[in-house]
Amino acid sequence: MTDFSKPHRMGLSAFFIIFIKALKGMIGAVSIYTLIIIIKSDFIWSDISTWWIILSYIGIIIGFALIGASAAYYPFKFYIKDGNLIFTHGIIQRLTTTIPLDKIHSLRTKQGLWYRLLDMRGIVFDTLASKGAEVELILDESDWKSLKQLINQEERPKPTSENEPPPFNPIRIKRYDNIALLKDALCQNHLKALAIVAGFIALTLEKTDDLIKDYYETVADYTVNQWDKLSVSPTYILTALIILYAFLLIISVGKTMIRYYDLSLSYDKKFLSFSYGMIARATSRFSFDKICTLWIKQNFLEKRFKLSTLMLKQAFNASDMKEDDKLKLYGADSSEFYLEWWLGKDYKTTDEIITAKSGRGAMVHAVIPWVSISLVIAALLCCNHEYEFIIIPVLLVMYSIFKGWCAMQRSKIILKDSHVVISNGIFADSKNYLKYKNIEVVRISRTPLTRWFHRVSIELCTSGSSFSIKSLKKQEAEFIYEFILDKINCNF
Amino acid sequence: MTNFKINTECITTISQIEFEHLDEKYKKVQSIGITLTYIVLMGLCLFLLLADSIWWCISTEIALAVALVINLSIISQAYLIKGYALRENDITFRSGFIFTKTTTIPYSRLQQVTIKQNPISKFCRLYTVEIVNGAQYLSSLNIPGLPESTAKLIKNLLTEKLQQEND
Repeated sequence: MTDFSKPHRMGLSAFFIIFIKALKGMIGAVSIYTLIIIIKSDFIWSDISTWWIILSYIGIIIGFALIGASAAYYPFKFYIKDGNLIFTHGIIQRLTTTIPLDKIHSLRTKQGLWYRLLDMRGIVFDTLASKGAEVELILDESDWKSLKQLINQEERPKPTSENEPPPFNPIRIKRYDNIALLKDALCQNHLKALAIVAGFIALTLEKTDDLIKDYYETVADYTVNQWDKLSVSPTYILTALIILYAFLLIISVGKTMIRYYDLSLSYDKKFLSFSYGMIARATSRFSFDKICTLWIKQNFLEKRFKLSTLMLKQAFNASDMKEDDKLKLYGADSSEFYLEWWLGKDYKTTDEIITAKSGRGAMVHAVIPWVSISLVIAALLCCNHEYEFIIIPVLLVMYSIFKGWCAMQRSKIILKDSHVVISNGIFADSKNYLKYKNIEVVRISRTPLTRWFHRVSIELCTSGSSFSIKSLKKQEAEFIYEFILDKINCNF
Repeated sequence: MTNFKINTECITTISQIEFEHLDEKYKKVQSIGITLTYIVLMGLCLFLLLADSIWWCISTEIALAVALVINLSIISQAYLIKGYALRENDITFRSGFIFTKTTTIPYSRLQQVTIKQNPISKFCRLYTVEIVNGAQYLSSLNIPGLPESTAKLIKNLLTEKLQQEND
């Protein structure tokens, strides 16, 4: 096991990775400038002096990258002392960063191509105190294991007295099936992506068409003719949509498979540590008391095949990357396992205090934006005397009413003795589980219609998520509001 | 595990709280702020539309003037709604005119308390207390229109609570 008690540098392989990063940065910074120089210059490529200039230029870039990498690598030392991870870095200004090991909010590792070739890992620590990520450590496999062991030791519950052994907290491993991952990736709703991409293509085609008309008349005529042919035939449109859907499906499923392939979980009572990825392996570590929301979604296909999509959310500012504050898990339905781990084995039997369902106001909230859009479309169509297309806004309104009705049916909040369950979703059942101690702010909103319908909305915010439950009965909402506040104070 | 029965009648609901009103001078602060904003907007419209079409310019200016009058006339009504309440375990602020919002932050969630002033509130000798918590959204709550003594009192109280939580 590596001794981290004395300040030491990362290995030479780490220097190589830092150099590659610096080189990439340099190339990125000068690429446009270089391109302009090459285009503008009157280089004679057969002339040897031209090649000397190019070689010198490359040499300068490499030289600067080496200086940058050395400046980042040599002054950088790290060690662990009194339960703190301490970094010293910086040349002009010597900086010492101290991170208490028990304050590390999430621990992420990355293994890109260069890391894998050199058998190294990039380790990033996130704490709640900073909005950006902390310093990245590049360690080899043995050093990483030693560091992880040390951090785990620090975070484990301490014995109350010297003679007492530490509480038993074994580490278990859970592996996920790749077939279930593929099935669940296929079960996701890809129609939304289709609508966005198809809409974008339709708009772009129109724009491209205009441009072509202006600049290349011959090509334009051909394109317009082709487009006209395509637009008059519903079969063509349907074929195009099916091809586009298949393409988006492959892209989406492929992305999920590459990202979450071979997912394995090692866990104990305090931590969940996920390892996943096909090309580059990544790890995400979630601490028991730093998870703020557990989101579980099941659409009808997922229910049919006993699959579920699950998401663990932690504080929003715990990591620099937006997607790193949460982890989505696709595959066989393992919601019970995570709920038992996070809420306790008796989460199902815990007393239900109140269940409040949303009223028709929730439907109105969902319909209003669509009605506004439909009115604008209808007005534009009427202005252009294109009355035959008026069916489009009418269909949009009908679809939004159906969507709103589905949303209203699913929208509810359940207060239990130990946690809160917020159900939402439109076509899929999605449930958000929160603990009272994770709720930061509670808000109640009234509309001008409240005095007649006695309905209000409640908003709950945690450090990593926020929820709005619309159109609750005023009396129930006020009770929920006060009960949650009371529970928050009881937890402290 | 506890299995207590809750008597809903005993709970003081949010509608029963009596809110403290902001200082009367806050209406003046808001009036000045709104008027200045509209003057800037009207100036911009004049600059952008005058050369283009005089009728567009005049109609926009009239529309803005009407909006300014409406905005100024609802200040008094909005003032009556705005208010704060300090309770044993939390602080609540009510705002909004058409859509009234009541936001509560428990003292145990406080991260930072700041007193601030903008040039207009400085002119009227009013302060705003900014309460920061760790939420993803609604991460700060601003209680404007407070006289110096009240702002300091709230700040001291909240800082004391913050200290107690840290201890």
